[in-house]
Amino acid sequence: MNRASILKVSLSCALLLAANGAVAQDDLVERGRTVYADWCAICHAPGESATRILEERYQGAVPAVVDERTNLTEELIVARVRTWVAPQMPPFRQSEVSDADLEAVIAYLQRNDE
Amino acid sequence: MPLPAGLSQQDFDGAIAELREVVGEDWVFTSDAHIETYRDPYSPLQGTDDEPIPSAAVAPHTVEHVQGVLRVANDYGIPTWAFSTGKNFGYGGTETRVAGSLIIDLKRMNRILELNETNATAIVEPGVSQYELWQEIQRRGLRLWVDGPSPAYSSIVAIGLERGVGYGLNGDRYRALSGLEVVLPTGEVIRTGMAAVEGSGAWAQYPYGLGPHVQGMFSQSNYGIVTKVGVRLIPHPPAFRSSLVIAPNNEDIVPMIDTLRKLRLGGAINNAVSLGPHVPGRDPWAQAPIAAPMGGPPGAPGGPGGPGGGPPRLPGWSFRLGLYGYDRVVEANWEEIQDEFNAAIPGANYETEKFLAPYDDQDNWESRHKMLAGIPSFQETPLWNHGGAFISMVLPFDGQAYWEFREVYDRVYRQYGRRYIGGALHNHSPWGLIALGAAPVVRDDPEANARSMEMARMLIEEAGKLGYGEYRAPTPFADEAAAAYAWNDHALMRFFETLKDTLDPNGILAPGKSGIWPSRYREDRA
Ligand SMILES: Cc1cc2nc3c(=O)[nH]c(=O)nc-3n(C[C@H](O)[C@H](O)[C@H](O)COP(=O)(O)OP(=O)(O)OC[C@H]3O[C@@H](n4cnc5c(N)ncnc54)[C@H](O)[C@@H]3O)c2cc1C
Ligand code: HEC
Repeated sequence: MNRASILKVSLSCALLLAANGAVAQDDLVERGRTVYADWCAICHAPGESATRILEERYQGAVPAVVDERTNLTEELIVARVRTWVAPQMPPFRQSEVSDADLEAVIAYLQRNDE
Repeated sequence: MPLPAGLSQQDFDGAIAELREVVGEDWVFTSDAHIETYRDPYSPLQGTDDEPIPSAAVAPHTVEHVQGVLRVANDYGIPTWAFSTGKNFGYGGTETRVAGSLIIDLKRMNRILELNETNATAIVEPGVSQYELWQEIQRRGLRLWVDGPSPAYSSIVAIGLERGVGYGLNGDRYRALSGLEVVLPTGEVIRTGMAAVEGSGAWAQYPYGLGPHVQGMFSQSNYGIVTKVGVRLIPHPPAFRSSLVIAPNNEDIVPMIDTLRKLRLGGAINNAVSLGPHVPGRDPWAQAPIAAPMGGPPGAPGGPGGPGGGPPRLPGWSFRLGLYGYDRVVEANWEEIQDEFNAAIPGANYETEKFLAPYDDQDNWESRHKMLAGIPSFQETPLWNHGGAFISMVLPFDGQAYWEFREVYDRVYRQYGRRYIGGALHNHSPWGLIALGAAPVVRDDPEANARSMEMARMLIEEAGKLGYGEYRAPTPFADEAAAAYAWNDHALMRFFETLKDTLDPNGILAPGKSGIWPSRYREDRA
């Protein structure tokens, strides 16, 4: 279960709890936005190298800019960030993107998911 | 994960516990998943028994941490290897020479200690990448450019120490360094050049200091871990002209190099020039392949060569030229440069654009203008689909010498079913020319990679017969690269070894780096 769905469950339980959860979630998303800007945007911003590769691959089926996507699973993001799936994206080590940063970037990339 | 040779599991566990005390629980890594991120995906040894897989990694945050890590390594006799950002793809990545090594990952030491617009200098720690320094310059709104290799995640420190290549006025990355702080293998900390003066008021401004100039001893070496450097930056010039100089025929590479030499040594051209095959309609350098599989029609990269064989005929050559300075001087130089090329190369042509300070629009420049200025751009890093190792030779700055070299390299490539396009030439030091070659690596195909390694060795050997050696050695080929520097029965290597044994009596720091082995390994290998 990802953070967004945890949030939905808590929403249906208690309003107060949900409000606290939403604040924590917002903080996490904001931290994720910073991590993304520092570590990911250089290749994934509009017009940059990764965006151009993904544009060609998806031909408009999904956004080529990854932070506009709404269908990225945690598994996919973790695999991309921690292992060498595609040669054009070297994996990130703990010393670069820590587990806490990774959790935040996942929250950020999933912020608009259904 | 393999343990360091000669160490029991119990001792290893003891060492790990001590390392945790030094840097904190969170910054010592031993799990398979973590170690995986310290294997080199480009390595020709990947997946074979010869791949030296590390036993652990540690990420210090301070100089005291680095000293503490080295103390533990000395106490237990653990081989280590320090990386700044650990992205040295094509030259070894984070691969070591000895299985079970402890990786010292310096990425967390990423402080920018000084950034001086007036003098155009900075003092940085090893974890600071070219991109991060650039971001900080932007944040502060300083009128400075950085320069550096095309992969912008590279460390300012590491790329300087490795004597790597940038593309603008500071393309010779080693020469951009000024004053080092170094932790010696025994744990003692020294500073070189002006950094050694108490209070160091001119650390990054003058690299030499007094007495022997030892900064170079820490480049491409295993004599110490560099924890701070002074680095020169580029003040925005009043005018900047970015051009592409294009020669329309395969044979034009000879007069192109010779004319470039004249202009470079004469001071008309000052940027680190890279030459490549010209593919009309494509930005040349970024996409130039170094080699191609054999085959295809005449004119195709792997197609037949010129009359009598020879390397593939290319549809022309080009290089990127940056001119910087006062507008009228830049324009006068540009006129002279075109006159020289027009006289030497019939049909020479140019694409050119001029920019005037302040460069408010620099973020939106095309990547080739950015590279010449010294602004990082990832569009210039077409990472390979698999991997590979660069086998890059230092040649004299001479068209005919390059022509002959290309034939020799192509002859070797052909034996392995490939052609040498060889359109990748760096000229970051005005007096020499670096000809890039590469041995390809195919993921999950150890057999192909073994053949590739054989080819790499033959390239090194054949270039050696012409009197050439590599400017930088991919880690798995360090011994072969070093063997070429054999004058007087390897006297230079014996000197390196004497220094190594003196500075690192237990032989714990990067054994085998640049072919330099500490005595304890020399005995094993003899
Ligand atoms: C497509 C492609 C393009 C490339 N383009 C360029 C280019 O334009 N120019 C260029 O120069 N290279 C280029 N390279 C080669 C290489 O990938 C880069 O130079 C790389 O970014 C360097 O990695 P790094 O800075 O992370 O060094 P690291 O991996 O951190 O270090 C490299 C080595 O330096 C030594 N070292 C590092 N830090 C220290 C320290 N603090 N103290 C002592 N020794 C240390 C170690 O021996 C280490 O093995 C390219 C490679 C590819 C695949
Ligand atoms: C050096 C450039 C680079 C950096 C930095 C980078 N990426 Fe990527 N990334 C790429 C490229 C290129 C691809 C597409 C590669 C392919 O699949 O062929 C990609 C693909 C991805 C994908 C998969 C998209 C899909 O549909 O398959 C995700 C998710 C992703 N990146 C997330 C990230 C995150 C999160 C970061 C920062 C922590 C990051 N990337 C940093 C280059 C980069």
